[in-house]
Amino acid sequence: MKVTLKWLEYYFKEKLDGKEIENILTKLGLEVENRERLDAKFSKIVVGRIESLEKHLDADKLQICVINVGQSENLQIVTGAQNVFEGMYVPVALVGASIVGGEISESKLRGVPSYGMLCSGTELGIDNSLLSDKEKDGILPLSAELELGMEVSKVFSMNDEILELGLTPNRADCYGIYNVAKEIVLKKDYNLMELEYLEGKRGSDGFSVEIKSPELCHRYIARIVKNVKIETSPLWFANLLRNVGVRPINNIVDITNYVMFELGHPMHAFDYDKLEGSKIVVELAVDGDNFKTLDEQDRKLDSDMLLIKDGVKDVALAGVMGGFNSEVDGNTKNILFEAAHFNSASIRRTSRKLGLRSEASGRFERGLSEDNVLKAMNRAMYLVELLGAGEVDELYYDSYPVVQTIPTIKSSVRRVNSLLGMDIPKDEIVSIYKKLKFKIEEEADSDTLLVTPEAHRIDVQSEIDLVEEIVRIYGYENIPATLPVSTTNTLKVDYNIKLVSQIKSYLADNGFNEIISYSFIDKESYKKCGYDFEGDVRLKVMNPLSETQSYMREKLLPGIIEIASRNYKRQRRNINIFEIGRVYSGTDESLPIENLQLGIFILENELKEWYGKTKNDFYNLKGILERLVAVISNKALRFEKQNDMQTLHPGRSAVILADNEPVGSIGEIHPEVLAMYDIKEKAYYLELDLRAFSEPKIKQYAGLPKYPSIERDMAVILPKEMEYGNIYKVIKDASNNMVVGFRIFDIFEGIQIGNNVKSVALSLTYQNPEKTMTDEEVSQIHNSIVDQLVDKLGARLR
Amino acid sequence: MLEKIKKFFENLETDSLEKQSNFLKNLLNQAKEEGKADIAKGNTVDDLKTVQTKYFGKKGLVPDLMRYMGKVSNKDKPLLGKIIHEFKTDLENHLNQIIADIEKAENNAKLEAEKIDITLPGTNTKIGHKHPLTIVEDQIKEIFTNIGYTVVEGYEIEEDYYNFERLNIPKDHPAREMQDTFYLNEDVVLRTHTSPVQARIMDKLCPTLPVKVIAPGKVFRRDDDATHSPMFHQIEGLIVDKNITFADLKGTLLHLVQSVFGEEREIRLRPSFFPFTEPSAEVDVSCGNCNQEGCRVCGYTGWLEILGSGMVHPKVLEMAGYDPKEVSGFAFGLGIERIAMLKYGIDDMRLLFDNDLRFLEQF
Repeated sequence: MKVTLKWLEYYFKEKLDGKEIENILTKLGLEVENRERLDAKFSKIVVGRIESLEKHLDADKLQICVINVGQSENLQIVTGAQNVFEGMYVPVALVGASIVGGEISESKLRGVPSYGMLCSGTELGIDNSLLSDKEKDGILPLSAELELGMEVSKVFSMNDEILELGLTPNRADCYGIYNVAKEIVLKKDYNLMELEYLEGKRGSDGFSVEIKSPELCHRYIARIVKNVKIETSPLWFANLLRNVGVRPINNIVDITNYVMFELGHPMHAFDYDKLEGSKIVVELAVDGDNFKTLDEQDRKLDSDMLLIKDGVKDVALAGVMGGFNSEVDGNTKNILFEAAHFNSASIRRTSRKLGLRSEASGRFERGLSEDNVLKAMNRAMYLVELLGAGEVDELYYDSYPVVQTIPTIKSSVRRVNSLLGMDIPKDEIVSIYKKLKFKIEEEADSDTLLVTPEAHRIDVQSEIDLVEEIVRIYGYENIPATLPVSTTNTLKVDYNIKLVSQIKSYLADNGFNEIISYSFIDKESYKKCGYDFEGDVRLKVMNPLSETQSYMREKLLPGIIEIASRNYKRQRRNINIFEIGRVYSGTDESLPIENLQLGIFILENELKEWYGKTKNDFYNLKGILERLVAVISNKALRFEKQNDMQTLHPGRSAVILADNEPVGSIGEIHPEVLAMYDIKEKAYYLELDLRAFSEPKIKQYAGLPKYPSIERDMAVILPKEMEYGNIYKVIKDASNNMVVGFRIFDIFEGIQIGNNVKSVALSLTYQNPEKTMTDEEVSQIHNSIVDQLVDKLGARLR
Repeated sequence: MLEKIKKFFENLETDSLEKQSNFLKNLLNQAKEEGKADIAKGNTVDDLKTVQTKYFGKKGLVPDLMRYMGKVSNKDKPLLGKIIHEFKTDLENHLNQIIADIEKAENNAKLEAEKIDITLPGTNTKIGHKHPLTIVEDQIKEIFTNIGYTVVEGYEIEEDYYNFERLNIPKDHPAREMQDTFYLNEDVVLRTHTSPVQARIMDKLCPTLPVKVIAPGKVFRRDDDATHSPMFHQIEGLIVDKNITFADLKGTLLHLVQSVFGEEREIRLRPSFFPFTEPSAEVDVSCGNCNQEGCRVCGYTGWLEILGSGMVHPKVLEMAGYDPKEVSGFAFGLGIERIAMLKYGIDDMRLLFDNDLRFLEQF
């Protein structure tokens, strides 16, 4: 919402200071998002008259003008514009002037010297949308009544400051500049001018207003103005509108716009002679009907849309836009002005459906006061007379089926202070209500006030709204800073929150960088990652920003690998990254399941270091996982081969089981997946479902061993394909629980020991918790382990 | 020397050692000097072991001397013992000292030979980094858990009912336009703020007091440019108890801001509007870049907007089952991205989601 300093000053005797007004409004909750001078972008542009014109001999499109700028000597200026003529009043940028786009200096155009420049509207910083078609075309024509040499910034009243207000939805009333002025006097002892109105008599003869949907239209007032003279508004009036961003059109339309900007209440003007039936009917449209709006667009209506009819035909889309069939034009003789109150939700739906938003619909959507409808009308009629635009009928036609209920609210001084934590005296509170022009009655108990807000303050409905009024006017800066005195909080924190923190610290301490990727995903990325989700119902966003962000992720990998790939393309090779985040899956319940997962990605990144080669591989990642799980849980991990994965290398991947429940997967990323992301080195990925670890690790003391342990090594030759997991199992089963330590210290393959076999060297630690083991006892078990390896796995001792 | 000693004892008359002791001492002093000379000739520990055997071994001088103890009279025994002991300890101490010196020197030489290049880099020094958003979130969580708040979490995909209606934002409320919402269907949205956690936790705890929680998490809005991301992070704070005041809100936020940005920073509260709080306040922190002189960072205002807050609206309390006449509360919500950007001087929000490792490794 734009407000200009000059418009505000119109209501005050005092001169306003832009910076001070900015501070006052911001302190009151009307945030000034921007403040700037309208003429900040130009200087030294004056009114000139074209005394004579001649063609440039060497250039078809150039003309040489002699310009009178009110000085003793005329200026010669060459222009390329085509809309110039002798006697035309034009804006002239003198040598040394600044315009939008640069500075003016003496120049020669095809050999002819030029001492300045004629300006278009945009070169003065006037937005194209604020210019009529005639004004847009070339040099901006100025009124012939202007004084030559006058600063153009004054002509357009651009020696003004513009304040851009970021209004909150509760203060729709401040879409009226007079209500903004009212705010200023809450903080500053200025004299606010009372507005003048032209009152009338409520009539019922000759014309009628009928509201058929009173729930959608609480009030409608019509008033007729006869013998209008349609012409351009006086400059001062047009300037006010132009400077807040409204294009002046003609006196009648400008008056409706002016009232809308002054009081925040939109109005409409019909060409009275184009109406038939001597009445206005407000009722819902018929489904499927068409209606041509002012902008000459055919609009398809439905039965939720509220229309204004004249008894014969549709003449306006209520609160949104007038009809083409009743438009005010140059030949209009008589006008019917409309001021009304429409249901905000209904206006919002209609303007949404039609994709048609206007200054008017925006204001109706935010909610307006029914009481203000008459004020708006009377103010408009006053302006009609002020501008001499026509003869205002004494009668107005007012249908007011739903009268505004202005609440009378009980306000307790004690409660105000107990909620604010302050001690504002009653007198001060009363004086704030008075400044607000709220009516007050004091109750006998000396604590309670009965407060009735002004009609336009429809945001003030309950006691808490009054508390807000008091504190914002008393000043937020005057609130003390204290800390709450509260009862002890015994709410326990969910263990998962601690778990996530612990895992992040663990991984960061172990060389992994945390990433955060979007929760949205491109459906295609599942395919790229080798997930087969065909035929499933996926969580789709109804209104995504783009196709690539249209699904809620069910996997972390697509996001992680995308980020890995981006870094890889930046020549990065040390990529150890992880993410902890939620993935989502659909259910029959109203909300999807949100499941916390961990994903870790490492790139192989083989490096020669001074101490030898290093690289990441499957076993590094597995080691990280094993240590992590040992830190956070008592659960036993097991890894099972899984062959039907398209995401991971079929020979180098596994399902992770914790206490025999599958909790994730680990492995080398499938080369085809890596190729999709242009990663040319091996990479490894681990995905872990953190739900499985949502119980804290239990720590329990067990007695220390009392008897010594004994270590024995063995080397066995086994079939090459024999997995360690099998060897481990055989040893464990044969150990009679006497093997407490188990370490593999060499795996060797070579022609010396034969084809398709490998030698595995193991170190076993024996210990009996009950007594010291003798050599014989150890040998007995050790030998039986060897026997079992021979029997069950076809091993032979090396 | 042995001969001389032998002779001395052969000639020694019973009970006369005391008179002759100087002579014996003399002899032994000479023996000591010889011993020291022997020691001085040795260069290695082995050499000295030989010397040790010569004097202290089974057939060495000291055991030899001890054998005379049996031969002298009882009266002379103590004196002789004393003389021999002195001789023995002197020589032995000297010898041990020299051995220790040589051993030390040998050890030093060995260590010197074992020296390494201590300027070479250490092995496996990879360090990792938490995401800056995590760091800031953790810091804020800690500030509040230290003053008795409990961290809770809510749903990222939330019912329209909790995201809006329970926060006093019915359908068709103009405030819905303040936040452009992603919908999964008519009733399910990607939460546009962490505020639905307010309603969820009050439902869970009502009528218990206090409600004192801090709720971090992801939120989503249909916006994407240098200052907006369609996904970002917020932290919601909520306290509901008896006698909670607007002044308490200000004090709590001052504590937060000074804990995050430093004790010298100030806050400014400005009236604002949120449907679920009243009175509501936007909160600015004094610009640390220019000390409020005005600079590019703060848009020449001296203040930086960091969060929205207010007293919990009576309707929100009522909908959760609390009586707004009996209890009151305040709530606030802040954008973690915003805080991280201010704290670390990050000028483009997209850096936080690009996850360039060169960026992440700076935290």
